[in-house]
Amino acid sequence: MNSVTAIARTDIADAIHSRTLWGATGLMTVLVAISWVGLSANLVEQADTPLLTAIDSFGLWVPLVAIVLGYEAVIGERESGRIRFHLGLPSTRRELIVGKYLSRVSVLVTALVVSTGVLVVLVFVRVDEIPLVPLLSAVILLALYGLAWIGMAVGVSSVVSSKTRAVAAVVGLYALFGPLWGQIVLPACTRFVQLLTGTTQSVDFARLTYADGPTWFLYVARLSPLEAFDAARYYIRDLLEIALMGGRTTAAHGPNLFGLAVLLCWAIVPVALGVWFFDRVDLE
Amino acid sequence: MAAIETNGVSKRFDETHAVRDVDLTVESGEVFGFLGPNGAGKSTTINMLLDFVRPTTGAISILGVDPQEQPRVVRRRTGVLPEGYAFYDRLPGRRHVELAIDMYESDDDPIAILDRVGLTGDEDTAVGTYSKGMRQRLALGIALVDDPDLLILDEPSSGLDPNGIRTLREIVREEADYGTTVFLSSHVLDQVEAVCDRVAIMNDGTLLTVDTVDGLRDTLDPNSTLVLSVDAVPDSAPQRLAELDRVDGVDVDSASEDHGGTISITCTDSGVKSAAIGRVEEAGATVTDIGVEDSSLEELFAAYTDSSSDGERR
Repeated sequence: MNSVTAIARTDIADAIHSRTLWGATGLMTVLVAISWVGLSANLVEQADTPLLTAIDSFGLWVPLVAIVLGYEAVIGERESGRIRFHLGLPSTRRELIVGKYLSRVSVLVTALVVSTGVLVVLVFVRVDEIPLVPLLSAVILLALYGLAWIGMAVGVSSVVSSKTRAVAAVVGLYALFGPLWGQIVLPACTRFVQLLTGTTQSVDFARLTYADGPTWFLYVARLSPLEAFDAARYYIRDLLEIALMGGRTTAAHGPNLFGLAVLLCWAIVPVALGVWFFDRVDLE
Repeated sequence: MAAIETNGVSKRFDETHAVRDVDLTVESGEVFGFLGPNGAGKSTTINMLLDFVRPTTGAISILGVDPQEQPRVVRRRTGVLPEGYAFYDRLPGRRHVELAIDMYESDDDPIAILDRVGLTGDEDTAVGTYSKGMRQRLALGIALVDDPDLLILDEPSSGLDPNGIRTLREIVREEADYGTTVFLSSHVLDQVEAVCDRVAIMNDGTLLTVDTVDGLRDTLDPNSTLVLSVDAVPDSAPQRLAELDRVDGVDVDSASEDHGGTISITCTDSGVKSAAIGRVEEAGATVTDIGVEDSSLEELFAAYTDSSSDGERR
């Protein structure tokens, strides 16, 4: 564990010196501030809705920032030769990946917390109150979401043989889970199920919404971290509200908990697979 | 227990056999030179010792441990100066040494380490501004952290100026005096010749020979040339010398107006030298200077690696 934290601390020091940390923090702060200012222009008294919408804008940016932070975490070390410096010291390949992962996650979480902090100040100035539950739930969910994307990027980084391929792979993942997911992947898998089950019900699945789809659809859709994040926004707020103040939610627990589990899996499984693969590769 | 032991280690990359059936034993406490031209398979062999690359077949033991099974245990007791390494360009040299000290869980003083390799005054400068030689010094310093039992130095002299090479030699000798085993590779011979107890020569993926520097010289080319400066070369000298058993050839450069002559005598055994000098003096010459030319390791090495790639040995 000592090696993991030593590697992570050095990598964070490098992120500070290279201004990566400042860049990520500044970018996210500016984006969310712009979003909030635009949304709160016509605010009457309830801050919740525009605030949540402002936080939603993170949903688009977090994956991109996470990808930039994570894609070269391992392959970059291999290409530069820095991996030889690291692995000449008492450590293992697994510790190197985990150390890099922790470092990149720390940078992202710092950027998230700082930019959310700025958002809190802006909200307070505008409405003179801080909606604690929505903010807290947003930070928790965003951190989990960021972890999922960094997990994917670091996993890819451990498996590919060049930085160029890493870029191609992470861009491919973003395209798959973003635009392609709703347009092609979900309709295709719906048609496939229709074919298997011989159902004659003709719903236009390309424009299917959660409400009128079959139950399994709610699960399949959430396999994409983008969808899982989108679907969990209100659910996680409800959960936090229940935990802090009691009450109940009308949301279905099954697909929503599944969505959170999916995010957790994306945060862990790609890195684990990356470690497994990287342990078996020749580092020339 | 041997510090390094490989048994029948081979490495194949797709179609090419980078390393073929290498058996190597480096005894504890010795300074061992690993020689060969670039592309000979030295780096692949060292990469296998460090578990950067896995052997296709064969077994490796470093300080009694398989580096593939227990890389951390091996790295804990080994100091490594790898080839083709890179640092964090934006972080200072001291930060790198501190990381190493952290990883070894050592209580070494980073400044003392940097002083030892001659980086005094550059501790807090970003490594990105270091010259190649300074980086190499830093890498050497990092290898020395926590007083390792085994030092593996891959081309340690590359990028070093003559001063750096002197520092390197001093450090290798000091470490060897403390009982550290040193394994160093090079394609430049004079450094190895100066510090190593034994030498292995590798070419084309195969280990050609393992021997002491002197033993290597004897095996490869036992001849040494005696060069005598004389006031004048007597006509009978070549004849008289050729009568000696262990003289292989005589080469004469006759005297002229402005310089005396020289007689070069190739001896197959150094014991014949005094007899040869005697013969020249009997012939009537006055010997003004005596020189001996041993074949340099560089020539021997070239001869060895050339002949092996031609498929014929001397």
